[in-house]
Amino acid sequence: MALLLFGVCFVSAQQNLSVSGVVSDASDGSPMIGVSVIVKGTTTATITDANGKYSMNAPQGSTLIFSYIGMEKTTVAVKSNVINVTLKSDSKVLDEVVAIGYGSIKKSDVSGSVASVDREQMMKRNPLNLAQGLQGAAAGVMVSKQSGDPEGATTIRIRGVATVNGSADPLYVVDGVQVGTDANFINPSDVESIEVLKDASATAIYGARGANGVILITTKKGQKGFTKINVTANFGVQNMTGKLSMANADQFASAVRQGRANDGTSITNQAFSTAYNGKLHNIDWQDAMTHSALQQNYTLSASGGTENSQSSFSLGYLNNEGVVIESNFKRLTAHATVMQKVKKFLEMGGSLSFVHSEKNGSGNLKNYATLTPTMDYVDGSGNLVSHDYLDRTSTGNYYAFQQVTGEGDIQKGQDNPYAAAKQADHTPTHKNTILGSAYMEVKLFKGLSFKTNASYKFTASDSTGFNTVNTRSITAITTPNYFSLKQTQQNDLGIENYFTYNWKNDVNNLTLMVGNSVTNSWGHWVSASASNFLSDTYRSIDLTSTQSTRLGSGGYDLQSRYISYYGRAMYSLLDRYILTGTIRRDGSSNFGEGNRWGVFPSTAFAWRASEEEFIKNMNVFSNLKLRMGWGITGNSGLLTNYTVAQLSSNRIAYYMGTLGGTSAAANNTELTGVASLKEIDTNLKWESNEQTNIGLDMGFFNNSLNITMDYFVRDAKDVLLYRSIRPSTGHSSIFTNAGHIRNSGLELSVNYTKQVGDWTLGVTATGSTLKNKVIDIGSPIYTNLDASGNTVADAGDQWDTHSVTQNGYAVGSYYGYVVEGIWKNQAEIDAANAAASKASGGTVTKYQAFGGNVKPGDYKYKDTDGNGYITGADQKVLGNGFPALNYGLTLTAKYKNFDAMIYMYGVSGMQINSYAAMKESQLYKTSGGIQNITTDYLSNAWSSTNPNGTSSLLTINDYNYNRQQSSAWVKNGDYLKIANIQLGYTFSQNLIKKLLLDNARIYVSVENVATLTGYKYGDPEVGNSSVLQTGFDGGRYPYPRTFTAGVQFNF
Amino acid sequence: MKKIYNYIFAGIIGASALFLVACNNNAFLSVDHTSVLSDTYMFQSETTIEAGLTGIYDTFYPTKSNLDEGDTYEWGFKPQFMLANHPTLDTQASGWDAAYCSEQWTSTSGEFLSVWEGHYRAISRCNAFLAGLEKMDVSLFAKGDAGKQQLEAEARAIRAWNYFNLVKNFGRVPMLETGETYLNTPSKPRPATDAESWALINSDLNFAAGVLDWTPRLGQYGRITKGFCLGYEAEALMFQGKYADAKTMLNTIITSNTYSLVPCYSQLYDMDKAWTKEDIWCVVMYSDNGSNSTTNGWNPTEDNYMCAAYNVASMEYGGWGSLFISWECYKSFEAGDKRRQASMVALGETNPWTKQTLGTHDNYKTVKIGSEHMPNVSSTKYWRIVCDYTIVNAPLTEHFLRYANILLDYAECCFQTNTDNAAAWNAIGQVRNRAWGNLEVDNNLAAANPTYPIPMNTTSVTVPDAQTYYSTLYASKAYTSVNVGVFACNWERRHENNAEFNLFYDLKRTGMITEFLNKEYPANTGTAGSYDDWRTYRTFTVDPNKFLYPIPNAELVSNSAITAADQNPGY
Repeated sequence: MALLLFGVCFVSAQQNLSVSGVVSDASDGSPMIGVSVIVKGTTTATITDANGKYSMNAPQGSTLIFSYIGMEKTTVAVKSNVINVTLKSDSKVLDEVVAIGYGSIKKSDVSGSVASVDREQMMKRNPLNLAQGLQGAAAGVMVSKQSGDPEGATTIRIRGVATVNGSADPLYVVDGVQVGTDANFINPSDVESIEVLKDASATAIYGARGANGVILITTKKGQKGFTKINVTANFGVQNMTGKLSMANADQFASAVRQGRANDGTSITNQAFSTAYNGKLHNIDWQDAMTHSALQQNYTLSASGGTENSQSSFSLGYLNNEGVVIESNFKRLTAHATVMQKVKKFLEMGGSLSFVHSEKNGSGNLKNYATLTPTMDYVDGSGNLVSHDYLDRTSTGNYYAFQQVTGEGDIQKGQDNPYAAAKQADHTPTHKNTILGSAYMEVKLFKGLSFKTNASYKFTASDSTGFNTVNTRSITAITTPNYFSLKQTQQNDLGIENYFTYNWKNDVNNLTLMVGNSVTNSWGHWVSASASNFLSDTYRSIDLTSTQSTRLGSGGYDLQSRYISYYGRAMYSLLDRYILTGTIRRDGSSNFGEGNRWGVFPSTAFAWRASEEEFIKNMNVFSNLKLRMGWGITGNSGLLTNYTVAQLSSNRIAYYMGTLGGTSAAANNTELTGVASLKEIDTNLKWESNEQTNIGLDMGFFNNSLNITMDYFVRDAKDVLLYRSIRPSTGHSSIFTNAGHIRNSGLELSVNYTKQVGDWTLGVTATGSTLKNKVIDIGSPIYTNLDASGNTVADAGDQWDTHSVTQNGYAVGSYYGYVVEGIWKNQAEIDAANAAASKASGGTVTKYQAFGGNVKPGDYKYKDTDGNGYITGADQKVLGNGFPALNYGLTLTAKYKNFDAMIYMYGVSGMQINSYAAMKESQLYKTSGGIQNITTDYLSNAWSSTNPNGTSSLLTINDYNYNRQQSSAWVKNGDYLKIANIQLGYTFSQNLIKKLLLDNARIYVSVENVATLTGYKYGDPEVGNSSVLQTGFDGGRYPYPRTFTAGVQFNF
Repeated sequence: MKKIYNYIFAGIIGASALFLVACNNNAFLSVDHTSVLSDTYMFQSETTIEAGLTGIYDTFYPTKSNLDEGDTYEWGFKPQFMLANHPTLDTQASGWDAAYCSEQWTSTSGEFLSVWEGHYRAISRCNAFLAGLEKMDVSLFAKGDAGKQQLEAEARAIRAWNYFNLVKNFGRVPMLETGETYLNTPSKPRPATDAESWALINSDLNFAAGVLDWTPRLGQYGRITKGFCLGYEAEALMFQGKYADAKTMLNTIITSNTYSLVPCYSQLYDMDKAWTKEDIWCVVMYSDNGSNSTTNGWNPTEDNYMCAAYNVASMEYGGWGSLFISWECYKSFEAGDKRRQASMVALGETNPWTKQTLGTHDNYKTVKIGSEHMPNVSSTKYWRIVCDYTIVNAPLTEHFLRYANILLDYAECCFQTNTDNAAAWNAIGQVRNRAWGNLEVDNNLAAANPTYPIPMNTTSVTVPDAQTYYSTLYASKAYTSVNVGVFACNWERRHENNAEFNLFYDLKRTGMITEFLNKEYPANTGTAGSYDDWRTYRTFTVDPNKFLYPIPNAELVSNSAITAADQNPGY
């Protein structure tokens, strides 16, 4: 089928030849669609059809020019009627156009640090969401999975962390629309290109929003030509990885006996006595709570159009079961774009995206691993009650732990988590997102254009829950059933207007851009609940049997508004000296009047040295460019009310009674009061990020080998944070500007492609170092809270100050005591106590003040301040969660119709603050009962019969606080992950053309193939959304290994 | 044609750009803060300043929520009774609380920070209130300056009460005064002397006592009264060794005839009772309104609820192991003293209110229970409902200052000054007469309460003479740290105020705590790890440094005017 969009021949029949042929890809011989074929010096042109064929009339002796984006332009003289051509890939990728925000430029003209993501390689890894797709995409972009849950939460840090209480997530800009710090609503298959702006000279054009880097996403648009359909389908099977080696029931019972003996106490569950050794029913909760899970991912897209009207549409569906039972994630996406060239000087268009997602369940492998590995107990008659968590033989009923009224060997009210998951209400959390945008671009005069882009994003989420009466636990059995509903809505409206002017000649190239941006975000939330319903089938608040249990709440969210004015000038002299300057003035509603506006400038210079004759004459470099940039970006921090002096009546009330009255609230006078609930800094202002970048781009062997290096220093000043204040204020913190944080690092990216015969081999390696250091932040900030204000370590575990942010150390460093060994005997302890008493002049009587009596086998904490005994002052920084080196490696190979890829990544010089390791190593359990421990700890625990044991003794009461944050729980977290292996096959044209297909490929892949690490307490990839918990491992949803088979075809 | 279009577009765009630049950017950026009030709201009128005063009273309630995004207070009951009792070993705890029974607490223990921050929260509200009140014109008040002074008096008295508690626990603490905030006073040192601490407390209470009446303003029980001010000022004077002055104030309270003993000691702790004639200061927890009996119960929507039963109930019946009564204390009651039955239940006994018998279940049949070997005796002052998770919060009263305390304080002042000893023994006798149930007879309570869980006395009994009894006991125990009169007062407090909020402070104030621990809980006596030996097996040596709790570490690291060198000794 011939496809002709252009092409009218104006030459006479006598002079012309009827020329036809096939244009194919030199790399694999496949026909190329849409290759432009032009008769040189004329307007005569055509393009190849779906089979790579073309035909046209051309004067004999004339020259045909074959061109296609990304391929080397080829010219052939017309000497015959049949001209077949093969096009080679254009190694001079420097002419590629990259987005830089409010415009795009040739890659060769980029003066800042901008990394383009290889979309093709990204999609081969079948990422669940955009953030996962960015893993390993660029040096200096550290992407860590937070957990293996089916939604695939991920943490992205571009050039480290430069804030304390704010978000360190980058800004996403989708088709020119700033969508915030989460773009996971975009189906990765809808993405056309991704650019990561890293340094301030690149991000400053986004001023107030660009402090943590900017990720520019361009979605697929319609292409002119006949409608093309693209279909992909992936089907995968997932299995849990990283199972922990825990004590079995007999080993656990032995540990309990030993722990009780060490504590001078007795077992309370007689099933743990030696009489039942070998008779206990073992339950492996890690196996019980996980299963093999299926993953399906389908996309269907269509695009096409004419010169003046182009459109595209895509649908996607993901159904991802979790490897933890009763957990799953489903997502439906739709994306449509349209472009209309109304006039030659006027273009209008828009896009509409819709995403619906449903999420159910969660999990944490550590919690399953540390649960008592048996439900056996001895009843009042002295009989061993032994059973599994599930009656597998007959009724399928769920068994329960022995329910005890006080704490002992079994936790009071311990529930059967398998039964809890199976019997839970499985109403998922729903989320719907609509993003619509429309633009108009006007070419006003020569070189001058104007573009306006308006967008609206609407996000609605809702969750419901119905808790039935839990009869498995005495602490819950009398809790009535309970129904709750919650809904939230968020609206984001934005308008961008900017003029662009370009003037150039053979020597100069000047581009000026000025613009204005306005955004407004608002929302509200509503929730309602009630308890005690007659039937578990009810789902109506009104039908509660106890009307007084009805609770309702809701309100407006705080609005967030921005106004910005910006400008940029780019000047290129002789195509080799490039100067860029930007300035942006931002106003934010986050601050009080007088502090709302910030000005953020940047400048960059690039020297394309390879264009200089003396470099060319060296015949070494095919590309050599030096880049230098400096700039300041801003950060307005968390959306907060803590900018205005304020009072509150929230739960401020007091009841006045009568003499001899009762305390029935209704009989008394309730007075509503007001009070200040927070110290407020009304002078809150912008947090600024100043960044200097020096970069070098080098290309060798006709750009088969490309090396990019960048060194940067990023200084965050006036950091917005919750600063600890003296508790004698009645408050613990104030949200204020304080401090100075520095990130510095070196980034390296190497790309090498080599074609040898039928083989095409490729290597892409990225590596980056990062040093994060607090220069000045005032008083240290100690915390046990994550970004949402939730406690991450259980109260009672003595981890309340495990994260410290203080001068001279990284943000969120690990803080605690230093373990210098194990007390070997009582004489050693007595001697230390005596020495402590002497050193203190008798004011202390023990070497360590905290805990109870120290025993042989307990951890010995180091007297770091040298005063002779242990106090809180002996705690020190134990490490941090920033690896010395973060690296990724992608190997690709192509042989005829086969292609293969291996992707791996890892970190080196990484330390993990492993709360999980502690939990998996200590019998002590804050919530009561006793938790299971690893076989490794069991064998290494000190005892009188194992005096060389390197781990603390087995203890249930843990008087010495062996569990507390200390160097014992800071573990080496280095790892290398073989993340993805894929093998694909592209069907030959001869085969697929019978099926009316243009292209077809099948593949198989394995995700999360292997992890090489010495870390034994779970997966060492410990991404955390809270900047103060970087490197903290609290256990997580297990990462699955996914075996996927897929097919891609288009027609 | 194109040119025309271009000019039209250029015009539209230019006009739009001008419009955008010209529009009021600051107005656009000023968003409504719909969940907070303006800081000027409080000082607009008498009504709004009353709301500010209510905001101060609110600090007497517990707060068990992350109320203001980062400042978490968990106080109101548990930290207070722990600090006021556990170091005496008359009350004990299992789990991590047990550190308070072995002098193992540290400056990073969260309870100290809770108490510290909670009291300063009240002080901070008082100081802001007083600063704003000063600037309000008297014409805004219906009663003019008198009305304004009454508000000032209530706020200053509450400030004094909070400072007093801080001083009792921590010694010299930073004394923030009217108008001092973090912004204008980012750091504040401890006073150089104890006298400086007491000066502000005495001054505030003195002023308030001169302004306030015996009965609460507007007849609203729950407000500060003259009795409150005199009672606490007297106690503060006792801490300063000014017993004669204290005695005068206490006598003023007694002779005012404002207060009297509740005839039945047990009824003081009945649920759903509020503001008796005996209460000079108490905090009343109100009835559960129903909405808190669900899974939300642990985070009630209001703060005037208390899940105290879970703190104090026997672990056998769902308690958390926070409050056991020692067998030593249990056994120290005299025959006929009804206070033991009213306030504790031991192995084999049945809680009269919940009808639950201790020792029914396996693992609870011994005199010590749990892996920490806690005494199998539970307090019933707050455990008068079944902990079955249907009623999470209970209406109870925290009695902070009762008329019985005034009588015992008066008696002590007499003994300390060696004046009016007969009146002192008489005051103790009044407390004991009620304890033996004779006021139940006098008030014919048996007829009025025929089904009361502890039967009311119907005939008078002979109460052992206090002077005779205590002289004998004092001699037999051979106490030397205090005289027999002070010993009698403390011993009576041991039974009268058990599991309330003052025993540890009274014992250390009178200098009797070390001897008390050594005589009543001798070290290394009993059987370690035994479930059958009722005696408390104390291993630690009493450390006088522990009589003051440590300044919370969080204050040390964030208040530049206080360094580690300023910490109380021993921490």
